[in-house]
This record gives sequence, structure tokens and C-alpha cells, in this order.
Amino acid sequence: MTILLIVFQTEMFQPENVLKFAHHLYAEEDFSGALNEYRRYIFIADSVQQEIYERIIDCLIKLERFNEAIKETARIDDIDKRNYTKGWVYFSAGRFDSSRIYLDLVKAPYYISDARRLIGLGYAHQFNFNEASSYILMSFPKPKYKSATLGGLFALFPGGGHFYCGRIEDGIYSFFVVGTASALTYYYYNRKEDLKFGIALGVSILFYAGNIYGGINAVRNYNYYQNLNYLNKVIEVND
Amino acid sequence: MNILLILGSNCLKLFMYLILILLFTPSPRETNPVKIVVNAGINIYQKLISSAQGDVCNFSPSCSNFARQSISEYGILWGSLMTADRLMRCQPGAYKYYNIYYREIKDGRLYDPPKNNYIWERTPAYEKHRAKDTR
Repeated sequence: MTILLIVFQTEMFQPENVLKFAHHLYAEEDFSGALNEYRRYIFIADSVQQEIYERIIDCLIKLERFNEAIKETARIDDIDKRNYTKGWVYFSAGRFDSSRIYLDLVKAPYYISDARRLIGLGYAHQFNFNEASSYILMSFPKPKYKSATLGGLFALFPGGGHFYCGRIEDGIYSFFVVGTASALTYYYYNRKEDLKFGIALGVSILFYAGNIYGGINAVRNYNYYQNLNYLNKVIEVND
Repeated sequence: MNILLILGSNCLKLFMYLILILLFTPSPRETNPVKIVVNAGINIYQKLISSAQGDVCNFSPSCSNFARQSISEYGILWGSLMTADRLMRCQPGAYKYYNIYYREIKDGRLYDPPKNNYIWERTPAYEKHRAKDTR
């Protein structure tokens, strides 16, 4: 029984079987398990192909363990491939400036088009669409932004900042809230109820100032989501 | 005698307010007295009024929690402005802006944290896109 167990275990831990199992786990998207098996394969195998290191880096990227992935790139022999892979890891981590440093070093014709695409996408992710257009296809019109100054000026009329950004319901609600607070203030002023007038005045001022702040914030959010929608279009076309 | 009675009743009222504030004040991490008073006011609202009203806010975090977080993170001035803006946006039509201005749902409500509403900083998501990083 013990002999059978030893024989079967020996069979299971043959490097080819470990590698097959690792590939299977990778295909099943169990990247944590696949990573362990690939590392076990590296430990027991006599020689390891470069593709295995790339698979390990890919597993680490999928597991968002980017610092480890960067360290693993040192095992790649080909310099251009190493730089490209490092650039790809930094890009996946959202560190676009670092990714550009390595992608700019890629010279081999086999990788250069992908490197340029990643550089362009990196610029796009940073909402720098002017630079990105030098590297990737962006044939659709650039996003139209709204001015925060105008948003603040329009917000001097209650709800105006929100109307400027197309947020009609928010604008109407702001108008009614500020209007109601102002009406209450005037009402208590007429009745000469000083304490209630003071409280109503304070609330009116707070909501009016909040309305101006909200108008500027609405413009800021509008511009951000214009950029985000444009970025999604760029990724769709270039991915 | 009348003056003493008036003074006595005012002191009693002040004492009762202080007891209420102390009862509803959170644990002593906050040292700013204005923020302590504001937090106490929010606590009183949450325990007395909000509990009777129910869970009616369209956003997560709720408006009172948004006020607490924004005032503690960004100060009284900006926190108050952000709270006033949030109160004017908290209306049934807010759900119309899902996937336009509010991209996430949390606890079955539109996710709108203070960090997405501070005009002097970009949102964390924006920061992820714009971050200048080091090797």
C-alpha cells in the first residue's frame, strides 16, 4: 500500500504533470493555484522555458500583485521583451508614467506596435488625449467640457449651475430649497421675530452657498465623466 | 429674587444641554469643540428624528453620515457646503443620474462619498487615472 502510494505520488509530481496541471488551472482562471503550480514546476524542473515566467507574471497581474510581477520580469532574458513586460505590468497597475519609461525603451519591431498602443492608452487613462492621439487611433471628436467659472456664475441663480450641466431635477430641487429658505427668512423678518429670522437667514445663506458650491461641483463631475466616457470609447477601439 | 430665579432656570437649561451633548458625543477622538458640537447634533438627529423617519436617503452614505464624514475630513466650512449641496441633491430624481454621474451602487443606493464631492481634489478614481507615480 505504501509502495503504491509512493509510486503514484512520484507519478503525480513529475514536472510534465505539474506543468499540465498548472496550465489547466490557468485555463480555469484559478490564478492563485496556477501560480503555485508554476512555481512548483520551476523548483522541480531541470530547465524552464521563458513562457513559464510570462505565465507567472500574468498570474501575478491577475492577482494584482504588481510588485512581485515586476520582480519576476528580471527572469526574462530578452531585453526588449523584459522592458515591454515591465511596461505592461506598470500599465496594469495604473502606473502609467512608469510604464511609459519602459515602453519607450522597446526597440524590437515585434513589440514596438504594442508598446506604442500601451503608451497611447496610458496617456488616455490620464485624460491626456492630445498626447494619446499621437500613438493610437482616436478618430472621433474630442469631449466637450463645461467651464467651472460659468457654472459658478450661473449658480448665482439658485439651481443655475445644475441646469448648466443638464441636471434639471437637481436644479429645480435646489431652486425650491433656497427659495423656501429665503421665503421663510422674509416671513420672519416681516413678523419681526428676530431669533427665527436669524436662524432662517443662516439656513438660507448656507443653502445658497451650498448651491454655488454644488454648481461648480456639478461642472467638475460633468467634465470628469465626459473624460471617462471618451476614455471608454478609446479603449473599445484600441483594445 | 426674580433675577436669581431667571439665572437659576437658565443655568438649569444650560446644564441639561451639556448633559445631552455629553450623552450623544462620540468617543473623544475629536478635539475641535465646533466639530464635537456638530457631531453631537448629528447624533441627536440620527437617534431621535432619523430613527422615526426610517431609511429614506437615496444615497450611501446617508446625508447625516455624509455630513459627519465631510466635516471631519474637510473641515467645518467645506463640510457644511458639501452637506448643503448633498441635501439639495437628495431627491427622488437622483436615480435618473445613475450611470451618468453616480457609477456605483452600495447598500442598494447610489454611492456618493465625500471624496467624490470635494472640488479642490480630484476624485480617487480620477487620481488613479492622473497619478504621477514613481518607479
